[in-house]
Amino acid sequence: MRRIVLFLITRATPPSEREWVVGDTLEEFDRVERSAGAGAARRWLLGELWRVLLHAPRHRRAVRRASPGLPRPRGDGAMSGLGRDFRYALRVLGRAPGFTAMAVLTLALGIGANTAIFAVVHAVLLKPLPFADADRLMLVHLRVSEREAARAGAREVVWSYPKYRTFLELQQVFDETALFAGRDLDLTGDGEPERVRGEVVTDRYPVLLGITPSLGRSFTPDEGRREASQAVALIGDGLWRRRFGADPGTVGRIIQLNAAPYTIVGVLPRGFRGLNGDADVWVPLAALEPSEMTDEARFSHSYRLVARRKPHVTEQEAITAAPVLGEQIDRAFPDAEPWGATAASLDASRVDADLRRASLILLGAVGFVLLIACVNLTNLALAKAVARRRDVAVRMAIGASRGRIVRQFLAEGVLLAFFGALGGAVIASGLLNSAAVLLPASDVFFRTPMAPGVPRIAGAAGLTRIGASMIDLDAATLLFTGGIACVTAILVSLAPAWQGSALRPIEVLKAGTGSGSAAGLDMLGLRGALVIAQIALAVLLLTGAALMVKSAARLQATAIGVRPERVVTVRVDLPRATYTAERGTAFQSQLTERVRAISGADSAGLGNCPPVSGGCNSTSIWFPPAARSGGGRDRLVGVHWASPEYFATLGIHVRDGRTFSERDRTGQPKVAVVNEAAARRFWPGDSPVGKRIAVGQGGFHDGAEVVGVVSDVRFRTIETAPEPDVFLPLAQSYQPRVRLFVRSRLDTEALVTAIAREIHALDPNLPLSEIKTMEERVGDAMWRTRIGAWLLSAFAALALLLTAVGIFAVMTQTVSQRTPEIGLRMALGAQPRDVLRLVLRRAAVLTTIGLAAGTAAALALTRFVASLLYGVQPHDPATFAAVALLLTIVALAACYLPARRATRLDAVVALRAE
Amino acid sequence: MGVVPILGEFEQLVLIALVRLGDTAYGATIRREIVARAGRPVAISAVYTTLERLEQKGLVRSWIGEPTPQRGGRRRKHFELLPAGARALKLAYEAFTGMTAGVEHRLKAL
Repeated sequence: MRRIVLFLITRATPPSEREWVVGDTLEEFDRVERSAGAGAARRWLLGELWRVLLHAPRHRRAVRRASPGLPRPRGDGAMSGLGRDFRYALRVLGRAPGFTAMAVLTLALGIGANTAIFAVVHAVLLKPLPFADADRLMLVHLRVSEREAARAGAREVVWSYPKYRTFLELQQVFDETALFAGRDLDLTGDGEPERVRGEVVTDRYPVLLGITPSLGRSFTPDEGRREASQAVALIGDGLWRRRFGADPGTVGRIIQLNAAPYTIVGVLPRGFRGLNGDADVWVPLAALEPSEMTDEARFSHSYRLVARRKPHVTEQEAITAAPVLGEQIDRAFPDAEPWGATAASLDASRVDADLRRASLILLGAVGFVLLIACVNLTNLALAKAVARRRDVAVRMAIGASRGRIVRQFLAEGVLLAFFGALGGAVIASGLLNSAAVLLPASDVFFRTPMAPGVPRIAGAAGLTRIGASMIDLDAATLLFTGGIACVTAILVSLAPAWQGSALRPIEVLKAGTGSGSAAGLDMLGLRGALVIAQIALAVLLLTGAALMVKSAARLQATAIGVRPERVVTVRVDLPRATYTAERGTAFQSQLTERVRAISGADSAGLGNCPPVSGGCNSTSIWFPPAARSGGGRDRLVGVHWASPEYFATLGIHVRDGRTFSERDRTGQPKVAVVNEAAARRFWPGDSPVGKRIAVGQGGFHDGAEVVGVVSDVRFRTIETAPEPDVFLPLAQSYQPRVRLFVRSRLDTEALVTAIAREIHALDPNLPLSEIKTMEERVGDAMWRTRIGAWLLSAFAALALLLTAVGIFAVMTQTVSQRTPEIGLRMALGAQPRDVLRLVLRRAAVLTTIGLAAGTAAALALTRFVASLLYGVQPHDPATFAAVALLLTIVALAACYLPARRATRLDAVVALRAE
Repeated sequence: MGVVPILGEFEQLVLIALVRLGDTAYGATIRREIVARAGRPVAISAVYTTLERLEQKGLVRSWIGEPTPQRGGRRRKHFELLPAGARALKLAYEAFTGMTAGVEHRLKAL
C-alpha cells in the first residue's frame, strides 16, 4: 500500500520537486510510525496522499511559473501517450463488458446498415460510368407533346432510323453518335436453344463507348449499311465463356440468331453489357432490322440515341442545341405532329429520378439511425462518466492535462467505432448477400415508376440496370465506412470528453463518494436534451416508415383487374424467319389446346402483354365511317392481342356482350373487345357493343365490330389508373411474341415442365423465357414500394428500440438521483401516486418536446418522399397521430420500471441514502 | 530596497516556522511546525508551493542538502529567511500585534 501511495504522490509532484517531497514524506512517515504505530502511519499517509492530490494542480502551476523555460512533462507529448491511451481505453472497455458489447453491437448495426445502403447508392448513382470520355456522353431524345406523354408514359421517346439520319445531316455538336435498343434474341444451332438479351446497334456504338473487343474486331462501316454483304455479331465475355468455353476459335463461327445466320467477329471485354446493362450479343441494325432503315419506317420509333460531344462543346451548349435540332427534324417530316428533341448527359440519365430519390432517402434514413445510435451511446457513456468522475479527477490530479483526458475519451470512442465498423462491414456484407437473393431479376429494377400519375415507358428514364452482383463492398464503400466510423467516434466521445475535461478535480474529490449533485443535474439536462433529439429523430423515421407502409398497403389493396393466384406466365416468341402468320397462328392454337389438356390445368390463354408489367403497345383509334384525323390528333388507346381463353384465365370479367370465340378467325368479320374505361371515354352513356372502331395497328385500319366490354386491367403499373384499352383477337391479327397464361392446380415447377414438354413437342428449337407466376409479377410491380416500406420500417424499429433504451436510462438515473428527495416527500406523506407523477412529469416533458420537434421536422421533410407514396398524402394526419401515439406508449413503457422503483422506495432507506 | 510585499496568511505561518527552525529548516520540519503549532493538516506540496513563491519574491532562499539514508538516499531542500523576508514578516507581525493590542482577552474569549 505504502508503495502505491508513494508512487501516486510521486506522480502528482512535478519532477523537479520529487526528490525532497518524497524524502520529506518518507521521513515523516517513519516519525509517525515510531511515535504512534504502523496503523496511524498508514492513516497519515493516506491523508497526505489526499492532501497532495488536492494540491497537485496548484503545485504544478507554481513550478511552471518559477521556471517557465522547462519543457512540459513528457507524458503530455502528442504521440508518446497515444499507445498508452489506447491500452488504457482497452482496459476501461474490458472492465465494462456489458456496456462495450452493447455499444459495439449498436454501432455495428448502425454502421452496417449505412454501409449496405451506401454500397447501393454508390453503385446506382456515384460510380463513374465505365466508358471512354464518359463525361462527354449524352442521350438525345425525341420529345412528344404533354398530351401524348400521358399515353406514352414519358415525354422523352425513342428515334426512328430515318429521323436519326436527318439528325446526322443537321447536327454539329457531336463527333460520334449511335442508335441502340435492347432486343430478345433466340440463339440456336450450336447446342441448346436459348433466349439471350442483345442490343441492336449502329456500327459506331462500340467505338463511341470506347469498348475494344478483347478478341477479334469491332463492326466495320460496311457492316452498318443496309446492303451489307454478311450479317455479323459481337458477343459478350459472359456468353463466350458460358456457351463457347472461352474458345479463341469462336471468332469466325456462325451462330443462328432468330433463325438467321450471323458470323461472330469479336468478343467484347468482361463487364460490358451494353447501355441496357444486360446484353450478351450485339448485332448491327442493318442486319437484324433492315426494314427499319427505309423511309417507310420514319414513324417506327424504337431506338435510343447516344452521342459524344465534340471536345469544345459544353453540356449546356448541347442541351441548348437539341430543341433547335428537334424543330429542324420536325420540318423534315411535315406529315406528323411536331415533336421536338431534348438532350441529357448519360450520367444524369443513369437512373430515373424516383430511384435516385429513393436511394438518397434511404441513405438519409439510415444515417438518422446511426445518429440515434450515437446519441444513445453518448447517453450511456455520460451515465458511465458519472461513475468515472473520481477516476478522471484522480488522473487530472496526478498530472493529466485536459487534453489528455479528452484524448482518453476519444481513444475509447475510436476503439468502439473501430470494432463497430468491423462488425458493420460483416453485417453489410451479409445484408448485401441476402439482398442478392431477395432482389428481383434486374430488368424490373427500373420498370416500375413509383409516382402515381407519372407512368413511364419501361426503361425510358432509367438507364443503368443494377443487379445485386454489381453492388459490393468496394474500396469506395469501405472508405465511406471508415469515414462514418471516424464521425461516430467523435460523436460518441464528444460529450463525455467535454464533461470529463470540465471537471474540477478538487470539487469532485471533496464531494466524496456521492456523484456530485450540482454537476449531476447539469449532466441530466444534457442527457435530457439528447433524449429529446432521439425522440425527434425517431418520430421522423417512424413517420417516413408509416407513410411507406401505408402506401404499400394501399398498393396491395389496389385491384389490378385480374386474379393473379395460381396463374403462371411463360413467354413464347416465334421467330419470324421460320413462322409465317399462318404457321404461327396454327402453332399458337395447337399450343393452347395441348396445354389445356395437361391434367391439372384449368385454362390456358394467350396474350401479348402481361398485366402490371408495362411495355404494352398503344395506338390510335377512330370511329368509321368518320375518317382518321391523323397528324397526331387521334384518340390513343392501349392495344392488346388475346386468344379467346385469355379473359377467363386471368379472371377478367365480361361486362357487356361477349369475348372472342373460336369463330373469330381470319376470313371472318373482324371483332374487337374494349375495356370499361374505353366504353366510358368513347361511348359515354351508351353501349359500345355493335359499334364500329378502327385501330391503327394489327391490320384493323378498316374497322371492326365491338363485340364486348370487359373489366379494366392495370397493364402499366399498379399505381397507374386504367386507361382505355382495346383487345384484338390473335387469330385475326397474328403476333409472333406472346405470353402463355395458364391457370392450374399444379405447382409451378411441375406445370412449367409440362408446358415445356408440350412446346418442344411442337418445336424443339423454341426456348422458354420469362417464366413467372402472375403473383411474382405483382410482387415485382410492388417491389420498390415494398422494399422501401420494409427498409424504412426496419430502420424505424431500430430507432424506436434505441430511443426506448435512451429514455429508460435517463429515467433510471433521474430516479436514483432524486431518491433522497422522493424519500423525504414520502416521509412527509406523499402517496405513490404523487411520486409517480413526479417521475412521469419529467418523462412527459421530454417526450412532448421530442414529439413536437420530430413532428415539425417530419412535416418539413415528408414532402421529399411524396413522389414515393401511393394513395397517401405526405402530411397524412392519421399517420402522424399514430406515430405520436406509438412513441408516447413506448416512452411510457420505458418509464415503467424506473417509475415503479420510485413508488416502491422505502422512505427510511431513501433518506438514509442522503 | 523596493516595496515590502504583503504576506498571505499561510506565507506568514511558513516564514514564522523558518524563524523558529533556523538552520534545521527544510520541508518536513517546516510542515511539522505548522501542523504541530497551527493545528493545520497541510500537504507537503503546499509547503513547497508557498516556499517557491516566497523564493521568487526574494524573501527566502534555498539550497540542496546531502542525501540521508533514512530518506532512502534522497536529499533535503533547506530554506533560510532573507532580509527582505524578515522585513515583510516584521511588518505583518506589527500589523497583527497592533490590531490585537488591548483586545487579547476578548479575542481569546471568542
